[in-house]
Amino acid sequence: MAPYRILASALALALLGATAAHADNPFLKPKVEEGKPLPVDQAFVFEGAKRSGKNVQISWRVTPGYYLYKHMFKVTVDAPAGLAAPALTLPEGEKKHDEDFGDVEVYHQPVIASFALPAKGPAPKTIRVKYQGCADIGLCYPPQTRIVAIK
Amino acid sequence: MSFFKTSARYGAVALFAGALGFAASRYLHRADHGAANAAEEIPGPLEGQKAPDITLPDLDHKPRSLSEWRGKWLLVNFWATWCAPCMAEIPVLIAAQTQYAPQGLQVLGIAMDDPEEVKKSIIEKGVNYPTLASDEAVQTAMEQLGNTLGAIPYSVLISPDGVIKTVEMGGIDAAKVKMWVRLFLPPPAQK
Repeated sequence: MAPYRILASALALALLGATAAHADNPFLKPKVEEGKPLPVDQAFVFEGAKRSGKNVQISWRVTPGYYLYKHMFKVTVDAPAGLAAPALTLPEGEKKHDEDFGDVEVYHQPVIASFALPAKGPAPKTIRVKYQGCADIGLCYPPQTRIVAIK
Repeated sequence: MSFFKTSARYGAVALFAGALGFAASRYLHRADHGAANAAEEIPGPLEGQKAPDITLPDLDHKPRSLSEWRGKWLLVNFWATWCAPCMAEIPVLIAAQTQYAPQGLQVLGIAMDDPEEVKKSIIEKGVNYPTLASDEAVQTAMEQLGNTLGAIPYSVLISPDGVIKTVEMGGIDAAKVKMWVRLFLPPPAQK
């Protein structure tokens, strides 16, 4: 075998070996950028409140890697004044156990919270919606409040 | 004879390739370690800047300023009772306060929360360092200390002369505190 062929074979094998060894190297994995947390409104996209038959539906999109707490959703009525806070209905969430909070439910997927419009008397026109969530990487966002008109 | 010659030649090629491959892989591995360490050491936009003298109420509603702790290595930790990762790192901060106080470390908790809720939590957890608490004012303070995202936990290490040495978005563990102590604080006094 010609010397240059031997050298070329050796280099090819060496490159193959080094690449294979390097593929397992944890330091090659993306670090900062991939884990860069999103602003709260991109992590949890609040989509507003709309009437749906005899109910009002409030919806959120949740970006993968983030979650909302079921027990942190709250709605009060801003207008007309004096209306009682409606009882919210929320879908069943994923069970999560936390050392400090105990057993809680969270949503990693879109959430629709709903409440029934009163059968008689004035209907809510503007509501105040509170929610709170965290990122799976171990960060939490402060409770958010949005005041929205029901469409 | 020619069979033995060819085998020896191929053997030599394989050995050479193996050695070269191993050396290349070690080189790449070292280069990446270097990159990882460098990433930790590259200062962000805040490091090296003078910390603003933030004033916030303590749990007795008395205004307290960061400058009160000048002369100490101040580890400011932003947290809240509704933040599970924040609650999880409190034992680390309690231990850090105990272990590194002789080297000049002072932990300061700043809670973005209702002071009454904060009081309950710090009693339950046995917090051994001062705590300030407020809602919106804490958000502003955190922004002044570089956290425009508003997410917590968020920690800032400030030198005795009031200079920001490092910031951390996310939980810190005992290893991280130890690394900061080794990097920034003076060694413990010899007995």
